[in-house]
Order: sequence, then structure tokens, then C-alpha cells
Amino acid sequence: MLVKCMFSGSGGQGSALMAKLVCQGAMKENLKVVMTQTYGIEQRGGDSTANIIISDEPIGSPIVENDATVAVALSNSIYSQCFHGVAPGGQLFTNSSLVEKPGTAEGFEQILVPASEMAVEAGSVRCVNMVMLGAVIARTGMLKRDTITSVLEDTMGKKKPELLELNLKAFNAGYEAAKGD
Amino acid sequence: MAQQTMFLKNTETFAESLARSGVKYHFAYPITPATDVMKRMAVILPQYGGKMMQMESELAVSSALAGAACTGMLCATSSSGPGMTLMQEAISFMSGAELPCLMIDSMRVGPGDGDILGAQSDYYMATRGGGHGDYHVPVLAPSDGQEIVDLVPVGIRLAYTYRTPVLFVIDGVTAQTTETAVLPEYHDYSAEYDTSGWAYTGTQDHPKRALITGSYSHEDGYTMNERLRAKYEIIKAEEQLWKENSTEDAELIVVAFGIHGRMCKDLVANMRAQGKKVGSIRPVTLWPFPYKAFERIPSSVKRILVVEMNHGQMVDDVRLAVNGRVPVSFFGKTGGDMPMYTLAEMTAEVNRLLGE
Repeated sequence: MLVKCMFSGSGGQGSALMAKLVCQGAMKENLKVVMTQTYGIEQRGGDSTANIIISDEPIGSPIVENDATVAVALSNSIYSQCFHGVAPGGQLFTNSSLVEKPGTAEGFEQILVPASEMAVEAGSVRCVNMVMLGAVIARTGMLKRDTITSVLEDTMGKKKPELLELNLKAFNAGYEAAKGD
Repeated sequence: MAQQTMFLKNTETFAESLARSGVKYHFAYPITPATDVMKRMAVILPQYGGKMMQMESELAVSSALAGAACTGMLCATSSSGPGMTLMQEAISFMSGAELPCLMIDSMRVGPGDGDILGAQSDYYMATRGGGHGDYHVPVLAPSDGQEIVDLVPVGIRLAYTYRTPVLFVIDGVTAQTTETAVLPEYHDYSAEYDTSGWAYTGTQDHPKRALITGSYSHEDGYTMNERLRAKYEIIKAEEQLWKENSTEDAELIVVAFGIHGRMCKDLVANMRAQGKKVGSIRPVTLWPFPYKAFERIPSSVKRILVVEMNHGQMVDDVRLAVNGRVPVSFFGKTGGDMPMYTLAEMTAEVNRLLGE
């Protein structure tokens, strides 16, 4: 098993947190994980990408170099980079609420998720990353749904139970929407 | 602390490994991409009865390191190229005075202040002795988080067995990568060595004594250098470490350390899947350089390709190792937004050489 992920968005959308949660989930499933990050001026709204590689054996190259098997584009400005960063046979998760003109995928699958709108419905647009995470887990099956739920409980449950509820709601909304089609 | 799997930046993995292996004092001055080592040391060392001390400069760091090492305590530092440059005087002194300590160079682009992005451009400084005199420092080059954990005890053994500073070098890209590693239970490896014959422990009930010096004259200077030479010969004979992959029938061998060495795992697998006879050698000790690995390469090898994150430093040692028996090519870059060659670029270069 070898999954190469590229999670991208604008600063503040939570692509890095999304990656960290997946990493913690992978550890719970006794997998090996590598994470590298690239930064723009993300705190002022620049682009931010977190690359992670998950495997059940020691990981060779730690760099994701336009060969992501799972790519996520949370914002319009990063979309083109993600579109060209997917490996043949890979999956691209596009936030169709913000990406204005999604391209036509050739040789890979594109899953359109109106993640920002769904996040607003779940309670806050800031949960856009959780909606997308739900969709990614549902469609790729790279980790178990329960694993992510329990990571969320670990990281948010004790300090801020109200945050946990909101994030779980967003995660489940993304999961249900993506597994259906 | 019990054994546990952790997900850490590799700089932090260094800190955890050092603290869990018995390092008591860590002296450092902040510099990208090494600062996370001292930051984590500041937090965790007190739990092990030790302390991190931020000094006013790298000059002070290296002097504090030498002072602490005189007591036989296991101490360490972490820095990057510009800081290591400033420490060379003390490293030369500690080598002459035979003081054990651990140092980490999280390498970035040079020369000068250079760039904060990762590089492997300190190979010469690490292996040739950046300071003056006929000395060597054992140099260990881990390529991922787990290997950092595995090599820290090796470094401590080298430092105390041979009474010498030991240097870890890691490219800044690997240093800033976050990954899983299994951290061991606490064990003070330095406690296994008897330092009473040389370490300063205060005058207490014995008369004043001077056991350590880096200053020799006339016959003493000759004797000290001969003693160091004999020690270095043993290290060269006994302590070469490397990893090799699919070399037994290879036509082309890629030689790389650190991150490029790690990338060779994928490179070789991809090449072999296409029926191309490519193997790899990854030096783990840079000094002593693993000459033995090259003595036994098979006659099938037509060419060696050295890949580095610099403009060609380790390639000199590879050329010395094969001594003209096999043509040696070099492929490397430093600086820029992507301060290294990608796997795709390495693959293209290997294919180009195979086609020649």
C-alpha cells in the first residue's frame, strides 16, 4: 500500500490540519507516514500545500512530485497546480463551491464536492477541510471512517466538545455526500 | 520514557533520540533549519535531569561544549552551516584534546549565509576537517527519522570509544520533514564508559591535575599526532557503514547519501521493474568513507552515478574509492525553490547514462 496525497488550499482553510489528522489516523492504523509542507504567504491568504505519503512499509522518496494519487483543491488559486499534480489513475477532490472552472479530467477521476456550501450548512465555512476530509475518506478508503472519528475525539474532544460536534457534523456530511455517487 | 511511535519533524526526532540516549547538556544558538532541535531539547531535557542552554553565539556554544565535555558528561549541539563554520576552532581543539561530544549539522545552502533551504554542501567541511590540523571527526548521515533514532547510540559509542567529537549531518529538507519513528525507552549509553582516567570532576580530595590539553610542543606534538593517527586508522578499518541495494548484478550504481540515498529505494525499484540493472550504495558514515563498499562492486558495473544536493563533494571520495576502475559521473544542484533533483530528474539522468 502506497498513497501519495497533496492537500492544497488557501492559508486558513486548513489543508495542513487535514493532513495532520490523516497522519495521526495512519499512525493509529500502524502505518508509516511522511509529511512535507510548502508555504506561500499563507497567513495572508497565500497558497498552502501539505504533502503526505502513507505506506505499510518503509517510505523511499519523501517528496510528492506531481504524482499524487489523492489530490485536494480547496481554493480556486491552487486548483490548476492540483489538476496537474495528479498521477494517472489518481483522484482529484475539487471544492466546486470555489473553483470557478473545473477542468475535464483525463486519465484520472475528479470528484466535485461543494465543500464550502456544505460547511456553511454544517455550521461554519471554516469546516470546509472537514467536509473534504469526509469525502476523501469515503471515496479512497485509505483509512477507516472510525479512525478519523477517533482522531477528532482525541484532538478536540477534551478541550472543546462543541468544536468536536461541529467538525464531526462536517466530516460526516462530506462522507455521506461522497460515498453516495 | 517508554518506547513509543511518534510523528515528529526529524529535527525533533534528533532531540528525542539524544535525550533518550543520555545527553545531559545541549548548547545551541538558533539557526534555520536546526532550531527545532534546541527548542525541543529546552522542553524535554529537564525531564531527564538535563538542560538546554542557549548561548550568545556559536563561538560560545562550541566553547561551552568543550568545557562540558571535559567533565565526561554527554553533551551535544545543533546548528547549520554558518554556525558550524564558527565552531571549527573548537572542533579542532576537541579533536586534539580527545573530547567526546555529539554535533548536528542540519545543512543549508552556502557559501556565506546562503539560503535557509536544505542542502548537502557541508560534506567537505564535515569530512575534511573545517578546522586546522591532521584530524578527523566521525560523520554519520541518517536518511530518515528512524535512522536518526538508530544512529544516535552508534554516535555515542564512537564518541566515547574513540574519545572524539562525532558529527551528524542531515540535509535541511529531511530535517524539516515530519514522519513516524519509533523512539526507544530511555537508556544512558554514555554511562557504559569509564571516564575517570581523563574527565575533570573537581579537585575534591585529590591534588590539582591537568589531563586535557590541545597544546603540544616538539616531541609531544609528534606523539599526540601519532596517537591520533593510530586511532583514525582503527576507525577507518572498523567503523565504515553503508547500505546497498541490488548491486550484485548492477550495470549502473547510483551513490548518494541522506535524502538522495533514500530516494534511490524508489529509483532502483522502478528501474528493476523495467528490467534495467541499476543498484545503489548509500554511505551512512561519510568519514570514515565506506571504501569497502566499492572494493566489492561486481565487474558488471559499467558506470557509477553520484547524486548530491551540492556541486560535487562526495564524488571526490567515490572517485578515490574506485581509483579509475569505473567511470564516475556526477549529478547535483543546490539552491532554488526545489534545492535538489527530483526522482523524475534522477530517473532521466540514469536513463540517459544507460543509453550512452
